[in-house]
Amino acid sequence: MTDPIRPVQEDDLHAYADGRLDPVRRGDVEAHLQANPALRHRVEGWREQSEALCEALAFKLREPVPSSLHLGHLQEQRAVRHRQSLFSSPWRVAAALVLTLGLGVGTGWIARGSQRMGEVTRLGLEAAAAHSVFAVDPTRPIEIGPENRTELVAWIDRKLHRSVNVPDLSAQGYRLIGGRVLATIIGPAAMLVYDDGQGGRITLFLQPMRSDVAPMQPVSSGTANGYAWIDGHMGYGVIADGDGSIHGLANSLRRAMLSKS
Amino acid sequence: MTLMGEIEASIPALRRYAWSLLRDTDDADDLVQDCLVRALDRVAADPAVAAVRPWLFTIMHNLFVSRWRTKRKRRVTMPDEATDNAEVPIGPEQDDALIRRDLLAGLDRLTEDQRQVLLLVSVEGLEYREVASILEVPVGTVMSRLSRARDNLHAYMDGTKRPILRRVK
Repeated sequence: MTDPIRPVQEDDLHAYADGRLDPVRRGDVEAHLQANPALRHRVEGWREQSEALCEALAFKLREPVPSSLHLGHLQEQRAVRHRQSLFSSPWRVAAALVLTLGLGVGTGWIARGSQRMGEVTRLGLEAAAAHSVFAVDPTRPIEIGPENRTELVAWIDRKLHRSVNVPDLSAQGYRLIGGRVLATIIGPAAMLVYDDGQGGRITLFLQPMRSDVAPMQPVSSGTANGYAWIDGHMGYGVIADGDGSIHGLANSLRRAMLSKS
Repeated sequence: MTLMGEIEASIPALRRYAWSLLRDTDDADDLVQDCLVRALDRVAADPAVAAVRPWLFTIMHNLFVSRWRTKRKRRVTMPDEATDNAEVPIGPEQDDALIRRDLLAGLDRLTEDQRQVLLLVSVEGLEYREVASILEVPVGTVMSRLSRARDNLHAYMDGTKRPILRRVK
């Protein structure tokens, strides 16, 4: 049985113990081990050892993953970091002013510095972060599906303390697949997920805002791109994946939401 | 499965490997967190990842080498702590618990190179060429480290009078 051209080597023994040989080579190694009991004992020992190591460490697989390691949580932290780095220079200016003007005057400047990011920028980043976490999830992008549309709208209205329109985007080729309520640092928000039937997803992010109105701004975070704006104290973010422009869609959505409100 | 789904599914194995290297739950989870944050940064820059698991272990290995190895060294110089391993839950069977303790103590006595190869092959089930790529060594080096790791650990377990072969299931 043993192939005279390819004698059984140490590497074959490991691959045998690890179950990584094709059937032909496995037969070669088995024949070789039959003829060498000491070697067979050694290789069987390796196999037992691997099993014992897996068992000894299996408790780590059974432990629940701590929330600090959930990807959604880490994505949010990334978004916050990204935001902070975008506005790090005003922060530096504010810090310099603290040193120059003294603490009493300076704290006011810091408070203002943190607001400089602008509501729409923050809104857009929240929308992009929510899109990145949920829209790409094939199994559970939404809490409530379109079959329970009334329940979904009631849930969103209750949490946002506002009556929210769920826009119909079928003319643009998108079908509502559902939505969910989300938490952000300034309060509750809602996300509606639409699908184009070919795996392409866009999300509409909704959040009550302090400002009455703000012009549309482009948003880009990682692979998520879109637009954010404010109308009638409601913030909107429409986000898609990749480079395809959804500017037209965002414009028609804005018009549709204005006409309904 | 999506890229995010694959990363999520790898987290328990990353926690297991990190714990095996650092033997401290908090340190290990910090290492995993560093690894995931780094992975998310890379995905944001370029979402084209071919094989997720080897890619994640590569990120983790590089972080371990650059930042975490010193922690491990401090810990192992305290001999009894490594052996007594209060963190490992004691199972219902005393024999199993003792074998587990001995195995972990035996792992501690391997060189770091051997330990990494053995864990990545035997526990994490990665291909030899994947392990070679993670550790940035030739496959031949992986195989020779694997031989030494397996034989050394076997010899250690023999010496403890609790060889795995005699284990009663």
